[in-house]
Amino acid sequence: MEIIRTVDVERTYEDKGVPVHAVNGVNLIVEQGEFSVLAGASGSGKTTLLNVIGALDVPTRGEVFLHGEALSQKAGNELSAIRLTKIGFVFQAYNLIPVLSALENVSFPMVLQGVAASERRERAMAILDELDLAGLAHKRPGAMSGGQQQRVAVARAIVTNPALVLADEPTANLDSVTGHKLLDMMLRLNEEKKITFVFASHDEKVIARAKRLVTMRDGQIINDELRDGVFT
Amino acid sequence: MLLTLAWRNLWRNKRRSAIIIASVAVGVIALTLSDALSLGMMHQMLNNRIGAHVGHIQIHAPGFRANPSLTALLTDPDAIQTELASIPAIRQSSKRIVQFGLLSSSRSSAGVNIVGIEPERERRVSHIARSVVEGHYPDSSKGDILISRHLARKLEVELGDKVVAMASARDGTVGSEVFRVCGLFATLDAEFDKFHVYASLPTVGSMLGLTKEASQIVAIVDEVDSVGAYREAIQSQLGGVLDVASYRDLLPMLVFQLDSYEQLIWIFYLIVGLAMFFGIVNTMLMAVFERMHEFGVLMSLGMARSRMFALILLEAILLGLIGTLTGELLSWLVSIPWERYGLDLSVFSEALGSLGVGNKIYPFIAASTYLNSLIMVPAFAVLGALYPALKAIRLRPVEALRYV
Repeated sequence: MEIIRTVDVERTYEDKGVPVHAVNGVNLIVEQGEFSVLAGASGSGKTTLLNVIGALDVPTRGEVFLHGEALSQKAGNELSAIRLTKIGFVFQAYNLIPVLSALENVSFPMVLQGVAASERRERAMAILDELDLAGLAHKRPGAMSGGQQQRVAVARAIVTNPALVLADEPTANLDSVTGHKLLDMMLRLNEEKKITFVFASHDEKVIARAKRLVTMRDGQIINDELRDGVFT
Repeated sequence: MLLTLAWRNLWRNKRRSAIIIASVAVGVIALTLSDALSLGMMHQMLNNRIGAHVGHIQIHAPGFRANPSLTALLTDPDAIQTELASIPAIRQSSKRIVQFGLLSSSRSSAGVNIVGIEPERERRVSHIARSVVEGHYPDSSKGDILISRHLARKLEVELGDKVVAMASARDGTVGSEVFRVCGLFATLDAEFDKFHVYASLPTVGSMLGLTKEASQIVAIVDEVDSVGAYREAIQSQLGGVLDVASYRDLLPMLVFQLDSYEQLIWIFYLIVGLAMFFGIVNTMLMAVFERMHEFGVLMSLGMARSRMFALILLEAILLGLIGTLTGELLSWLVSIPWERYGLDLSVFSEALGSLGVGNKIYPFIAASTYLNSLIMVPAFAVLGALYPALKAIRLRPVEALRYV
């Protein structure tokens, strides 16, 4: 099933009066259950494309469809609702809320969804437990390692059962071993729970695990390679 | 969890929050205590005037207040007192003769209000008896006169000295009487003291050619706050012919001052509020801009702008509330000894005496002062947070995430 479709998407920035075409006419379809990586050098446009797909940014031209719905037609609060219910984000810098514990961070999207406190706690603990993070439930981000924080960030991204998880350089701040562990975990979630992951990364570890590798350069897709055949 | 998040965000930068809370608290303390001092002073002025002479209610013949002379007298004051005695709300009443005249000693003379009183009943409607500082309060015997210490100095008389009072009598002649100074009084109102002397009612009456008439009846009621209603009730019971006036009618300037102060205090609120407003704008701007990236994260998690707006305002409300409550608590602690022992301002005794206040002010904090601060200050805090909050929610998520 098609989750994302971009049609001739362009994103142009002004940099000191000079237009920069960060994304330039991208057409991409992401199917459910993919474990795809947008790869490319710095400045290739992969993060910008990820932001546009995730409704964090709006394209200068073109259209993004999520589950067949055009995002350009949505108002700001509707886009917030889409991010809340359909998309999970994992950032390079973890971006946990520093004043909340791991449990509260994971629960937070459910607070925004209006889930009852008891159910929030139950679901958040279940996810933390599943990702071997139960011991960190009451620790704040400042008391956790980078790898632990990123795993909590993944738990936060998937706790609402989103259609899509977008991860922007999730391993960039992690050492090699921790990065591999994180990828193992995400791959497991992809295979066991059929969660769709789209990464933006130039990390070889991530690229090596990609089931689909979309390579970008100068804002355009220059290669789209399916690694393991048919998506499930 | 929004409240939890706001509360914890407040303490991310403890020093900054503590500084703004302290500045709010100082503003609230300044506001509350100056309000307490002003209210205390004005209530003292009013109560002193009521206690010294005015009482809660006065009854006159029509026209007396416009022209206080012997042309408008209560012809049967005893009957009125009997009527008053049947009204449960009237605690006590006393009749007086009041006539402007001249009091002379062998060395000097002064224009005064000669007040003829029923000494025993007067004790219960005014505190003039308690204001005697030398000698004794006049009894019913003929010839005693109580004058103020201030007037004694002016007339250069002492206890036991003779003075002569002269005033227009009812028949148009000049009535006079020789008195002996039996006592000196000093109220808290220096201006009042200069112009009032007291002698027994029969003596003053006989001097002025009166038999049973009186100039006024002064009454004290049980519930001062209901004085307006009592006034109406008395007016109606006495047949609506007589002039029944409450202290609010008799001291219009003072009452106006007190009433208008309650409006003026809002200007103080505005000034203190504005000072806090800029402090909070500054604090919230810093707090918002240094967390702009985090707001981007919250937006990416799907937090609606309205909710983020509410989060920032909630933080400002909490700052304002904590500062206000701290300020109110400290004000209350400071006011305990003030209310009990008073604030000795004898260095300003001359000015305070002319205001009729006394050297000691007993400030009191009205419940409305606490309540007004509790509403006004957080409201200003919200106003102060509006601009930073609007700045935060106007950014697109990706702009906020990239914000450095």
